[in-house]
Amino acid sequence: MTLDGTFGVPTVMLHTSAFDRIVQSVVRMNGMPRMRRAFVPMPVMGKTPAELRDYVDGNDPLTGVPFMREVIDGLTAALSAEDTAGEAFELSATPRLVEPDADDDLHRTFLKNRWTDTLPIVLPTEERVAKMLAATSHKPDEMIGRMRGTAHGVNWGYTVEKVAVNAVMAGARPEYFPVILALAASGRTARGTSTSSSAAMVVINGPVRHEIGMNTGIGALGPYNHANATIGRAYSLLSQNLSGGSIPGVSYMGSQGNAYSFTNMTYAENEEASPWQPFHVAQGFAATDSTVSMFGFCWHTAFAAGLPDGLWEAQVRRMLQGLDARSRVLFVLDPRSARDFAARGFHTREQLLDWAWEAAQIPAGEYWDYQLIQNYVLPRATFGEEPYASMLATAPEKPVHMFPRDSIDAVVVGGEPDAPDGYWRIISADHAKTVSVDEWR
Amino acid sequence: MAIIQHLAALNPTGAEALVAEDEDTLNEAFLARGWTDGLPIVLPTESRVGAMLDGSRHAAEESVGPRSVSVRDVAINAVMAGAEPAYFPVILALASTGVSARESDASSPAAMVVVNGPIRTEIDMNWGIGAMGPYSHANSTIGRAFGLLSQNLYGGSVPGISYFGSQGNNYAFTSIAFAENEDRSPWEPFHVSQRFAASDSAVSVFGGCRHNTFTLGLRETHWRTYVKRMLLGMDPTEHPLFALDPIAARQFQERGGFDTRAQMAEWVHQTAQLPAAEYWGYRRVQQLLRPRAEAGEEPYASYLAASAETPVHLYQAENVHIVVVGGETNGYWRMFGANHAATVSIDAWR
Repeated sequence: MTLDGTFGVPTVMLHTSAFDRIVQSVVRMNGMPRMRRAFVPMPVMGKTPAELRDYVDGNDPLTGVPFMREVIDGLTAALSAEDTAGEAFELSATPRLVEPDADDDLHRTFLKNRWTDTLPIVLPTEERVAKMLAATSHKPDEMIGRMRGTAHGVNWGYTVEKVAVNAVMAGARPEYFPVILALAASGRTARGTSTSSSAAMVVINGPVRHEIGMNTGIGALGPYNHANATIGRAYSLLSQNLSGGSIPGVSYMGSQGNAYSFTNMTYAENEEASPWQPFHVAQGFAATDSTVSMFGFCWHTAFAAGLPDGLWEAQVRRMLQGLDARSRVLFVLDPRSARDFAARGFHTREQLLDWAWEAAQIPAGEYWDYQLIQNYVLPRATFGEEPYASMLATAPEKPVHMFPRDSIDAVVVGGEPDAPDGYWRIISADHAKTVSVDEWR
Repeated sequence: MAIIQHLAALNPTGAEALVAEDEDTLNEAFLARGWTDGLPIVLPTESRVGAMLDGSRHAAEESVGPRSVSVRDVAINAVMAGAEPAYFPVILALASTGVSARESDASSPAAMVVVNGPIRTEIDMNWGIGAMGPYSHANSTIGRAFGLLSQNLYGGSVPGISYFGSQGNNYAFTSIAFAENEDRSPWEPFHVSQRFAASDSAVSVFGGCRHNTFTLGLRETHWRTYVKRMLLGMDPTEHPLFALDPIAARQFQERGGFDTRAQMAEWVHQTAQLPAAEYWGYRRVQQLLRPRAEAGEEPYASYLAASAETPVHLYQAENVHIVVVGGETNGYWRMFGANHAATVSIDAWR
């Protein structure tokens, strides 16, 4: 669309057939409903060169027209007035209120219309939404953000009231609402359409953690705290409902799905038991500010117990090298393991991150062969972007850093049960944003 | 409400009986007593529990599983999770294993649930796009019911009292419940590898689920290196469970020549090796496997006797499992650390 629409280069979009509906939606929303396109069957991955040749020589499975004829015609045929006319349509928002009905029937309606995550909700009655709205100084009709599940998709806008509806549905209490508004206003979706099935993570810092009774300790990432669970769920529900929906095969393409998507690993940092400064302070906030940090990707979780003498460096290196090279690296440490790291000489968080950056190296030839590195990093390297260009020029057997230094971070969460070790994880969480909660009170 | 008094008796954290009030008050009371997972529930009224009980021919008072819970107890939790009566046989089958989805261990384990056989289509489960995510009522509520019944029927799960996971596990909300994509798998269905007939419906439970790595496809040149790295990056007290999109499953079959799951499991066993000193250096290997080695159990006894630099196998082939799930939008696959606990009949609970 950019090549054709912005630079005027005749272009045909090529996709596999599974992407028919999402492509159709995206081109319409970008005013290019007749953008030329051709499809090959699913899948491409794993097919032999001969099979792929047959795709090219064969028919578009959606139109039945020879694939290459669509490509050649698309590149050479003149654009008609119809082609460039665009298309007028209304983005149809759902009505503000649904028809009154019995509770059980309304629950069914919400489920059937895919407004939920398939778990029970609290029905967003006007009374409950009004209570939620009373918990912020912001006006119900204030437009606070825009969100979309995929680049170039519709960037849907939403008001404070629409966020409140989703907060009620998730089961949240009014006092959590400023945190949920901060998440919504960030514009970061927790339900990207990516075929990789990414999920989000949410970390809360500052005084609001205790004001609303969040869990920083035992079981913080699990089903053990109302605020943690419902704030994370509200983020998920508002992401699906305020960005045009999240429907498998239509607006969600995650091949396998991600079980972290129900509540997005939402917890508060255990600042009090951390040997380091709070996460939000490292992001330039004051310790007395309340903030929420959003992370994306969240495909991996590597788990470990303790830091055994003499062997911990090799163990942590193996954990890092076991991640896909496209990952980000977030150390999620319970207080005891954080202190174990500190006792190994990492007096600041930055020292640990520096060490991890150095530890995670593999031969260049292996780095560049990862499929996701081929897809997303190789183009940047060939355009000369550093450090990737230098890494691409490195001999295949020479080591390169797997992860950019600024993609490595650490938070402290967990309690201190009577156990032989600290327990900790490396989660492939990509820090996207840290924003103020106080602005949304 | 008799049901609520019944629940109060089951879960020691809710000693006093509840007086039926308006729904919001009751919901608050359930939350305050630690009977939920923090998310909204469906209140287990007598009529809803009655409808759930109609989802199975088993009598309400019948005992289920080694923990001797009643069919009614399970039904109460199934209602709370939002499940339909049609899902009830799957949920009863989960209870029949006696496995807890809320195991209290400082390492914060979670469970995984895999459903096979005709029931997958009968109750409209998802094995395709988004199967592990919030996209299927059956998947989500079956998995959640497993969590709720584990916390409410097996002695409660309250942080610092009856739950001691230092960090908690986000998978515990819905226990990663999904159906296998049998039709698009290059191998026999998982339950068939566990000696069920393809026409049987069965549910498999895995424990651990602390670890989960992922990648896209199997690269022609380096796939063995990448999979080996993934295997060596996991704590060896967890066992590899490969959850493969059908595209990735066919790649494993073709690149590795794995005509059966067992062949792939054997390759994993051979591939994942470390020097004995490194292996015994893991804290959990010391805690969980060293006592077994000292008691003479093989292969651990031999691993303990091996010299420091002798390579030992991190995983035994019989503990390595493979399931196929995904909607083929891309060749993504995941490797969980997940220990196979049980595969049981669902049909027995219809």
